[in-house]
Amino acid sequence: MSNHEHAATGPGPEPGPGRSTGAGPEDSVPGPGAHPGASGTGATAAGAAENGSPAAGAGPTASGGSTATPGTGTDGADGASGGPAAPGAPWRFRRDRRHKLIAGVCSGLGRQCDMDPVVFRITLAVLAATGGIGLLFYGFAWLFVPVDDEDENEVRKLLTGRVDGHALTAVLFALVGCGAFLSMLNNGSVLTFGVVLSLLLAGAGYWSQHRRAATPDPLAAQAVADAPPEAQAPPVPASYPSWWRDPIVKDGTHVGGTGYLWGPPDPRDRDIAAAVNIGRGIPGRTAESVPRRETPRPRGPRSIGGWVFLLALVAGFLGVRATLPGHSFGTALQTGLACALGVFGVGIALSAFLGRTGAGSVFLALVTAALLTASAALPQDVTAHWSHPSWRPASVADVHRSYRVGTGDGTLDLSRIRPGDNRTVTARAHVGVGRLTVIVPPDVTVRATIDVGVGDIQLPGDDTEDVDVAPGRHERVVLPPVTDRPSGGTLSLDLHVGIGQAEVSRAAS
Amino acid sequence: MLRHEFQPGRLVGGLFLIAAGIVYAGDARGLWHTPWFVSGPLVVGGLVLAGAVSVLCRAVRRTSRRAGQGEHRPPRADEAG
Repeated sequence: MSNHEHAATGPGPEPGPGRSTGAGPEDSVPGPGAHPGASGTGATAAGAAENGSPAAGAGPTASGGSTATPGTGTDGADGASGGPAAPGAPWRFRRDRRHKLIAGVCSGLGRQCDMDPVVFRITLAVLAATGGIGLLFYGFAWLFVPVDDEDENEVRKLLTGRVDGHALTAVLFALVGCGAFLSMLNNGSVLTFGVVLSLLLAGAGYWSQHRRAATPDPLAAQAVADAPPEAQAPPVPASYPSWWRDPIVKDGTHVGGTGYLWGPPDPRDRDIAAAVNIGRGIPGRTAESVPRRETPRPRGPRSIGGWVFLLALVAGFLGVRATLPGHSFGTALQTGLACALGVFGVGIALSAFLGRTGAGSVFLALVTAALLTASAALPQDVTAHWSHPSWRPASVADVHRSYRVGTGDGTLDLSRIRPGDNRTVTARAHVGVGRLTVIVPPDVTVRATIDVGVGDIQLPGDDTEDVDVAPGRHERVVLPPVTDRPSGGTLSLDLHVGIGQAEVSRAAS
Repeated sequence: MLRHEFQPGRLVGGLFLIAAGIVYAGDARGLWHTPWFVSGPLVVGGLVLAGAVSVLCRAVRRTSRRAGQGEHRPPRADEAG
């Protein structure tokens, strides 16, 4: 029993809207100081009779005289847990309070999947120790899955101000799980183990759940599933004074508290959640609405968007595969994306006659077109791997006409080149995406023509921290020799970088 | 239940998308050179045109349907096929 339930043991009615306290409408709220007794059961019976309900909510609750006390929080768990345990009712995943070890997540899972909860406990413990997935799952399940006799999960309780130890522990679990998981992200084998184990556990649970799924009559099961929830007496549509406004009794409890740490300023305001609950509960009481099944609205022609997407994926993959040998990665990417876009176009055009495509297909086509534009804007010699080539020609005769890098960090070290008096050595270098560094000797004049599609140019005088990324940069510079005894030769550089940085630096003399 | 009445907006949008795909595929094959920004007017313009066409078509159909209702019973069965 959580703290806030202890806090709610006072005469004030329950804060949870779904708690089946057996209380009738407003008039049956007991005043402060009401105790279990004949008047309480009388109020319940009167409430049920007034509502004209089939007494489904009051039935299990009224089995014992002491549990039928309206407005006392202590009987909430016992009374309502009899309700969903009705035979044949399909379980939704709820935490199981009665067989819990920590928060009842594993117990609820075991009940949901018709498996021994020990299996879940051990596996989740192993998962928690290896990579934190177990803790992560447990924490979030604790936070987001309500206990079987409550309609609110811990997050909602937290956000509405009922901060208690359970919610904080759940948050702690989730946080520690997240931390452990993030710290294990680099460790591929541990992560793989965790993922495989969780998939195995999920598969086992799924199989176990569907092992006996062969019900004799699926229609009957459907009808049961669609049956409205049991009629519940509405909670009193008023909210209650906060605990700090009430006198605190000597033993630490307080009179009339609800467990809320904060709440609506005016306690006489109507509680919206309770009002909604009342509105929602009304159709459940009419007997003729039990097999209420909404007939699906006819939606026109069937959607072909999924098939179009699949075909576009296949076409894109085939396009890349067919182009990749003999062409650069950028070209292959562009071909694949163009094929995918073409398939989207064919699908959407086809849906003018057959089937239906909607905004999803158009959105995917737009995304494909954007990617296609990006791939067309990329330099064509981009490769899929990042290379670090380095050239260091030893003499003028070794200098090639052109150096090329598709994607990567290229270094052209010309520091050993001495062109000789009044002679010019020309070198060209091209980097698609990445960085190009050219090291020139200190005693030569450098004439450089530098083109950078998007990026930065660094010249010997520049501050290395000063990176100024701009599109379409083009510079022609003449760098005089920096030593006292210039050799008189000239290096002519022609540098192209598609996206990235071009750097010219002087070698240390 | 795949067949339905002709929707020209979809056809226009699809054709523009196909055109964009062909333009870029030809660029990738080296048949011609396509500036990278062509896709903007082609795709977005095509979709806008498609939307305009479908709105126009819907308006025309509604008008003709209303006119048909005014004269005699509407041929709804024909339209559904």
